[in-house]
Amino acid sequence: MRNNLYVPKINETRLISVEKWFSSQETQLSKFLNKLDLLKYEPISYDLKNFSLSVQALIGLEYRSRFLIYKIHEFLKNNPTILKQISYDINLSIDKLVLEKLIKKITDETHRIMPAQLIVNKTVSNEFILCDRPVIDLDDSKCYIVGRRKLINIQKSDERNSNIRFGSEDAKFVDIFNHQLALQARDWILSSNELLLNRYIELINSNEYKESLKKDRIEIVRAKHLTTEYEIID
Amino acid sequence: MDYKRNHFIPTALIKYWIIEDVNGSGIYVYDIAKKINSFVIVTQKENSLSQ
Repeated sequence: MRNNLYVPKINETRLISVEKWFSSQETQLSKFLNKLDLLKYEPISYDLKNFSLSVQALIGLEYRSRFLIYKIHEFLKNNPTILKQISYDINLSIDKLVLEKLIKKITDETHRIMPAQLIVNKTVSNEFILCDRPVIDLDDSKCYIVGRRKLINIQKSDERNSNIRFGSEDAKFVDIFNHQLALQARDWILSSNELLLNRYIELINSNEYKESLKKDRIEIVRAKHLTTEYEIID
Repeated sequence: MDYKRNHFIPTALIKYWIIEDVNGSGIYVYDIAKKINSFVIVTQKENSLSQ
């Protein structure tokens, strides 16, 4: 399963329901990003359902890293007491449990952040890299890298309704964010620029990166906004 | 590396990093575990990758 994130399999059986779930997220995120600039002129209330799905797809980017799934799987395998505590069925496979918790966490986070405010920022000259964990934690919000020159800051809206704001263009933070992205990458990084990629490959092979690995830890967090469990039906 | 089936890289995002190279359309990727740096061709139609 850990090597088949987009087409999840357990015991060589494709989990069609999960596959469709991931696929619908990809599709919605793709549509949303394609028309993002046009949304400046459209009130979200007209398309709230799709907006919620788009937010969910963005949030999903934080939790779908193959590295995270592998780490959680190994943690549960080595901690049977905790596995028993969080599993509603002792016969449930760890693979399936991890996927169910993944879906639950993404859904719970979406409920928590809605109504949401999205602030879209673009850069002019500098480019972002992308990595398997493309979300940067700030104090009260999270930044999602969604393009070579685009990021979306998501926070809970102070207003009653969800909304999108378009921030000013600012290239100063790109190097700082790229540095952070490389430090938190665990599986891959990519770029459209070979020289830029090489700069961050150097960072990944540095002591600073090795130190960042020591901060990796598993945290058990109780869902706050969902009242029911999700069960994957094979 | 074969990403043809399994999209570890979100398909909704990858298109924004694709560039035209003499070898075709693709991206520069570094596999951290394998320490392999490569230019990966991206098939636009399927949004899939192959090396």
